[in-house]
Amino acid sequence: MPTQETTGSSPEAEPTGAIQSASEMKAGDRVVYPKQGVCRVLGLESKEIAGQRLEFVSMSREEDNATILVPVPKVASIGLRKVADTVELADVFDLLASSFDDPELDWKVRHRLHGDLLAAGGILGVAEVLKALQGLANLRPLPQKERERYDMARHLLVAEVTVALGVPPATAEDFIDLALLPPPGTVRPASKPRRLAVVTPRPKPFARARPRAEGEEEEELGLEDELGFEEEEEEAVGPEVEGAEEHEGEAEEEAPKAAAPARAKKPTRAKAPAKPKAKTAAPASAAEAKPKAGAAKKAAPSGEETAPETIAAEEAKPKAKAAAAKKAAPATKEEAPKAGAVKKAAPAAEEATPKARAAKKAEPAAEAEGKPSRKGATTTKKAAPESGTAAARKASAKKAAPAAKAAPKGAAKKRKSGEEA
Amino acid sequence: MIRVVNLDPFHEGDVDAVCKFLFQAFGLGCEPAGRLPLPEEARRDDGSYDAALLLEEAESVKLVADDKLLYLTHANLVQPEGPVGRPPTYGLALLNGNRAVASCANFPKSLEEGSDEFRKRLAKQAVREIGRTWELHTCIDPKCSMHPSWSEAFETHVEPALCNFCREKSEERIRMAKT
Repeated sequence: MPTQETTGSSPEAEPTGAIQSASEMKAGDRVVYPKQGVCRVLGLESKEIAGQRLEFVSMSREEDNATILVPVPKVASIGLRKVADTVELADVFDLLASSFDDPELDWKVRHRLHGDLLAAGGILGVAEVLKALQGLANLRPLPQKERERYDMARHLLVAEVTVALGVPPATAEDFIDLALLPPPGTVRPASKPRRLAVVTPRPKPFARARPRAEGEEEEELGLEDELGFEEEEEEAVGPEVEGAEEHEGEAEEEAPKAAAPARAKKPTRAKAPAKPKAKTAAPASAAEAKPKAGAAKKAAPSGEETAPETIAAEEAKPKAKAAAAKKAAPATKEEAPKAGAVKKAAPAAEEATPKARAAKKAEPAAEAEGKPSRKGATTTKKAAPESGTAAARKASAKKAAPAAKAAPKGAAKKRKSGEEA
Repeated sequence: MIRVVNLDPFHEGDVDAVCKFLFQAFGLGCEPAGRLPLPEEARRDDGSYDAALLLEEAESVKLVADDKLLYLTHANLVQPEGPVGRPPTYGLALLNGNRAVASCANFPKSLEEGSDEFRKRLAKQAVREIGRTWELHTCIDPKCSMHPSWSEAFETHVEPALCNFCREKSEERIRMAKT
């Protein structure tokens, strides 16, 4: 289900009516809290919590009168928005009534996508989830969790349509049903809907969005040594970096110079999921390229934090291409059977001569890359597959294909289990 | 407790059958509560009745907390026109409320009053409307009574029963009720 793609008359499909600050809300206004429903603003409240005086926007959920307190600085980040207007409603019913029906079959992708759409896609996102799950239900029964999500999407949509059109909820539901499940004999417009929801990244909560001052990056809290983060990272990185140990001395010399960019390149959130992928990154195969591209896409909406990573990735593109090409070439000729193993376990490479040879071959590649520091090398390695263009991915896949064919079963199994992990 | 009031004369035994099926579907006591007149305020020029207004204006019987009141009628009900047209109205309910109305005006002509098929069809509609008062939404299971009333599946699957999901949800709502 393509959410980023927009069709038809209005390409600007971003959810409208997003509330950016508490000043936009007045007592008595109706707003929509994502995944909660329509709320009525009661006003501003000041409360003392843990010795701090905090300002909250007080709201009452309409369906059950539950009180919701939103800290004023978080108003923008939680995705509050105004109730849909007539234009948006027209788009919603256009989407529901259209014959456009392309359910995403991968449950993981679907789960993530629907979660995002419900949280940040506006009313159009909710309608899209409903439509997609309805389309899926026509193919096969929905699993329990998705059935619940379908019910939740319907509940949210009914509540908003009720408020927007000023009709009883049961009537609003009949309107939705009429569009979604028309009576027999009804001819649906055989076109795609005019608009599809676009999930826009929301601003970060105020505590995380605080810009760092100069020099603060390096100081951090000074707990890295105590908590052992640095050591862990080095241990984890050790086996992955080929030929980096030989250049350790040089890298250390350059470390002070490279420290700042390396830290800047260090991804914050996206790093954790990137680690296991980096381990399997060495055998550059077409099968791996896809999920990594997915990971890169996933990281993109996280906004400010991922920006340095993207820069690093772009810088690393040509280097990574060259490195991948150099690594893939010997593997295809003679060391094909052990190439995968070498890349996975560097310590083992010291014992086995062919593996050591492969490691030596990687040396000039590392030199050509300008002898990066350890962190720099890691960043480059991790970033490379994510940043690869389609052409680069194809090229590396082509080169790796014979290697994959020639590789022994054990290596293939290892690689497979790495991918699964 | 579900109380069933007929706003028009129904065949003897039809209302009892509806009560029986409602009890089976929700596990709640259900009883006929007599007959009341159709509210004139809800009547439109063409002889049909505004469903939402009917629910507002119809007389009530004595209810206690969490009781549901179901009106049965032959009258043709209508709802306002929506963004994609006017939905065919077989009944209406106050979502999470305590009143509902089911009409047999749009039933196929082949169904005769007093027949088993008619009773099942009416009971299925009644289950759907009472389900909405327990905040059940339209279901995607074609066999479920909460499927849209105008669908073909609603006609073909005659048994007035709920699917597992809707039954569990209704049971949860009933458990959470005040009484």
